[in-house]
Amino acid sequence: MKSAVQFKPIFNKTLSLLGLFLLVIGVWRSFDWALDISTSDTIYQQPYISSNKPVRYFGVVSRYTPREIYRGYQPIMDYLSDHTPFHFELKLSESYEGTVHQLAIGEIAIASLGSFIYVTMKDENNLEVILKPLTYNGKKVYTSMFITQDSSSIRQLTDLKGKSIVFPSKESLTGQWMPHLIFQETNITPEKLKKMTFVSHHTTVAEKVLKGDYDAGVVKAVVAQTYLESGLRIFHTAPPRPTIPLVVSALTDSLTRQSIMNAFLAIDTEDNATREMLSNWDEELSNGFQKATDSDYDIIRDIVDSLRDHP
Amino acid sequence: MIKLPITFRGQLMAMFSLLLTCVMTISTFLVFGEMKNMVISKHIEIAKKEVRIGTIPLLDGMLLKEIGKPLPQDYFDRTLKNLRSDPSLKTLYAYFLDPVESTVLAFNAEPDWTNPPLPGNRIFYHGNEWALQVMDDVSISTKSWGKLVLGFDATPILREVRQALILVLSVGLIVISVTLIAINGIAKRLTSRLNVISKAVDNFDLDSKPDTLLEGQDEIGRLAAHINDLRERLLRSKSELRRSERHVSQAEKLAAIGRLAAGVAHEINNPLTGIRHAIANILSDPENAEDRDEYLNLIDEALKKIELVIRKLLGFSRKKGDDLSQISINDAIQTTLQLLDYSIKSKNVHVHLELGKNLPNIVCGPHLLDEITMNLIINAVDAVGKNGHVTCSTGLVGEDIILEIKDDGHGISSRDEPFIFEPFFTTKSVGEGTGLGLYVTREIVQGLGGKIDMSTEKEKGTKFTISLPGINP
Repeated sequence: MKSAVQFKPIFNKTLSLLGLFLLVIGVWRSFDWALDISTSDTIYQQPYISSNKPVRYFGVVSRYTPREIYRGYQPIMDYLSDHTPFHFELKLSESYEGTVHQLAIGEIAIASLGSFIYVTMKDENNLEVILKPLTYNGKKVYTSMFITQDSSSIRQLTDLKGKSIVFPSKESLTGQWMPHLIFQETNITPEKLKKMTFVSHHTTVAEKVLKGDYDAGVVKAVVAQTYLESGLRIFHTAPPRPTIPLVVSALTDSLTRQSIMNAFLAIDTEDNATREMLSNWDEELSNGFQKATDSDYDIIRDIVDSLRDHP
Repeated sequence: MIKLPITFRGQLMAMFSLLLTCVMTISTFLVFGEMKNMVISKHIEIAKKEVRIGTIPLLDGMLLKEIGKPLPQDYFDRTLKNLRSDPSLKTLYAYFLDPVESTVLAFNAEPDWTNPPLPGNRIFYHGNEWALQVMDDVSISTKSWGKLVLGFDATPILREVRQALILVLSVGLIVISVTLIAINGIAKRLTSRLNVISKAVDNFDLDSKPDTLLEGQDEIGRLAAHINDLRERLLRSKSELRRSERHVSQAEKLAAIGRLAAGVAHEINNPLTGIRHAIANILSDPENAEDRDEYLNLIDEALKKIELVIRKLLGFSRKKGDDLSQISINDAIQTTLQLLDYSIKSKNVHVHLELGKNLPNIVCGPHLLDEITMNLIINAVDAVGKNGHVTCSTGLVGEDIILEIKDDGHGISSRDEPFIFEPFFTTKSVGEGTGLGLYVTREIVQGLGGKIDMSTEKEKGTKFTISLPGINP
């Protein structure tokens, strides 16, 4: 059965034209939208300079590559900028001595030096140790470690005879002391080694051993620990020594010096938020700080003296 | 006028088409929007990865520069030029921006892009091509040495978006088509059963054997069952109605015969009584010529009255077989008034004649016009009573002859109005009317191809208007 609906012609025509018009507009707009791939602009804004605080520079000896130093020390700069009246920035140098020179001429206010460079260049540059970091277990000592590949046959220092070995910079305590330590403990002289090389950074030592360029190497404990999961093994640990000194010079003003000390000594490593923050710091400096005195590094002086006696 | 046949199936299809199209359109837009975002996100991620890789040599350069190592003068420009690029990406421009100083430290670009846009992450249309610009910090932790801004050709993104659009539209159209075909099949199956029911209802004939309707437990099956029940009930009702009609018809016939017999008996009995008395008086004194003539006139009057009653009955029964002849309406009125002269004068009714001249004759049986005028004038005289007025007028309207009989009596009540043309309906006392006059009049008028109208007004009178087709003399 059929039913019929009747429309007035004018209504039908108008409706049809309107529908057709809307359809055309809709399709056109839809395709226009569909093929528009533009995204909303995120125009870069000039960074906001957070403070007009006076700038102080923090030096770090070249124990690591500049990239690694920035990764571990830039969060420390942020912390100091937030907790002192100064804005801190890193200033790197190509060498250990370069950092000492920057400190001596007042280009930097404080520096994280190596123990060896500190005791050897302290007097002539009017340096003063003010802080030293605590280790992960709260001890005030640190050490160097002998590393080799997991698959290596080297198990003890005596196995180094006839092997190639790589050390960090001669300006570092590890680079100075460890060759003598081998001799003292095993009677293996450099001539009895296949090859003995010094490179700029501790991390470079670890990478060269890992790549198989050298049979063994010596690095700071923190670097050795970092590479354990990458395929390196520790086969000997050197005697403990004080942790690295944070040093100021005679040109460092007292407010800066005191502000830095207050900020570092105020770190509460038991606090969870603080621990979260410290996890981004260089591992050597991530367990809190303690006041240091020059006498803390007498043991290093003894080592240096012994090295002079047995060059 | 445009007629749009909309069958149930058509409506079903139209509704589903509209609904499905709406749903699919929305779905298509949503799916396509998602795909478009995925394509754009994928390319942005590739580009971001590329720009991140590009920051490494720039950072190394900045660090070397910071620790005082000498760098070739064009180190950064060469670095930008030699940026390793993903094969799917074409670099349009690259620049290294010092964020603090807002200076461009290094720059490399295609010829059309020597004036690149401001830094930021976005896809935009520039000149005549699409470009994808991404930016990343040359930084470590919170320390930043600058921003590397890379602009890539975004044509591959547009191509992939277009392909996605075609794919989505194709799938949408296929889904709509397949679904509509399926719905059409379902609708056809449903409506075919309805069509069976529809045809069965169209051919509904209570007197013939019914078609067997569909059976089933669903709505259509139940509808068919209801129609079957309805048919059964109609059959029973029709049977009962016929029985009732027969009863009513029989009762009406009996009532009509009763009324007719009573009226006729009274109508005839009165003149017969008069005749009997007249004859008895003549016989008692046959020599008195003066009384005898008077009684003979009374006998003649009584016989005419009886003849009139019989003529009415003949008209009612349609048993007259008079030949057709041409009759003048005015003559019929004059004849009737002569017949009714005694009654008119005895009631002192004033009759006014307004007869048209040169009216055409009417072709009919010889006494039909007499019956019409007789019935209407008798009713008018009866209605007005003593000293009343009756107007008889004739005229011509077009080719029709018009006869109007008007009185100034009491009029007809609205209650009686619908029944005045029904046979045996009378408001007169028994013996004064048969109830056949107006019925017979209407039958005659309609038989002659004319029509009769009545208008009445309470206490002012009644007017009957008859229109009859005439022929020229």
